[in-house]
Amino acid sequence: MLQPESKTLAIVFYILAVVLDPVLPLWRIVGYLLFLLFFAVLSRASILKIIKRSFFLIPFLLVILIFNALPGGIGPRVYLLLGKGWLAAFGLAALAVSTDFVRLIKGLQRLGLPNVLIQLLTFMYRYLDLLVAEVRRMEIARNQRFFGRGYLRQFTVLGNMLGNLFLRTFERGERVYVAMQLRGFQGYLPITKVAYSWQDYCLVIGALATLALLGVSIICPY
Amino acid sequence: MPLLTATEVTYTYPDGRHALQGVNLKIYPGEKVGLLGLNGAGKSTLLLCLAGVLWPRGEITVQGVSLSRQTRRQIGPKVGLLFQDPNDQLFMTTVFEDVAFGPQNLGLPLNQVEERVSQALAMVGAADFTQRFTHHLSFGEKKRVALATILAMEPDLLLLDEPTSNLDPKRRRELLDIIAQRPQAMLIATHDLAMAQAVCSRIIILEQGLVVADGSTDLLNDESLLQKHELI
Repeated sequence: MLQPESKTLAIVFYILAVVLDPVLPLWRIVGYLLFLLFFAVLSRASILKIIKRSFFLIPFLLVILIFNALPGGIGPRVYLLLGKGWLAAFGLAALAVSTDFVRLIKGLQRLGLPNVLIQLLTFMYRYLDLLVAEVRRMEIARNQRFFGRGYLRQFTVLGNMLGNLFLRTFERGERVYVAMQLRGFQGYLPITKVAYSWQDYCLVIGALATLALLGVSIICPY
Repeated sequence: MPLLTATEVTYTYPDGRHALQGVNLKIYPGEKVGLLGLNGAGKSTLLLCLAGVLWPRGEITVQGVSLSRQTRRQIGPKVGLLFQDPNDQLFMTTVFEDVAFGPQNLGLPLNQVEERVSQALAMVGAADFTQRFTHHLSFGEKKRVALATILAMEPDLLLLDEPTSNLDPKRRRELLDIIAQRPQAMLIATHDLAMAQAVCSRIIILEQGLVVADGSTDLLNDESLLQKHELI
């Protein structure tokens, strides 16, 4: 099985290549898509899912289209923006489809992302649904005794709820920190070592090759 | 030699509330002690002090070593505190990582960490939970895994803060069986008199930050005493 850090590295190199591409000719688009196909096969991600996921880009693309196509019509610049945008979105979607969040964080940790950031992401993921549940409970408690009278009063109530939520979160944070200290926490989350397979090396080398190919074809165009 | 000694332990919260007003107690190896008292009597505060989270006045010694900021790292692994809310205890994403957190911080090699994790999970009947996400566990499962995170440290003394609260009768019974089987000494803060009767060999009653009764489980049959301290 592929490790998340090799997938992340491969996608970073791939996006770098897409973004740096100055003209985006058709043969290179095919090249990029072939790399993504290679990625999808190695990481056993469903191509249909990747395409579906990449639709998250549509609202952003529409904005880009409006601001760029209105003044000068659909020219090479708009084509370049749309093409690069969608290819990069495919890359991100492929990473997202093939890797769950927890494994992604682990991968980033092994790649050497700052410790504080890793802890933030880990705890955010762990406690997000507790926070949401707490908000829901507060909301229910409010709705049982509050029926929306008075426009200004609603803001007072909301302010109180937010303040309360902050305090509760803060106190939970303290309790969690105590629990961590009691088990010998010294400022670092433990890193689990993993072994890399030939697929990992293939993927990263493939991504680097894509980047290198772009470089070569820019320097000597014929 | 007592495992734990507390002498004149006094704690006042920053808001001026006197939570503990001179608590004296000794706990011997293997002894299971029930800590009874009303809400706000100081049970949780006492546990936090004994675990070295809060710093009270007075003296606490564990296996003859006085608990201080310098000795806490040495004493820490010997005393395990189980929180009332297991969500405070389980902060890693998967069960394995969470139970492994303590042993890893002790600096053990990976194979020993894995061994401790599987042993601790087996003790609480959660051997096949390793790869599950902690936030997807049910409340009862969280409680058991939280206990496993502490057992993995192989402590000599367990401080349990209301271990059976919010559990359904079946899960409560399961947890009681687990607790009763452990050989470690325990101080169990609880409102569950039936549990204290079933598991403990000694009872301490705390009232307004003071030990007002300390004796065998026969205390639980003394109705006038329990009524006097409003425990029934």
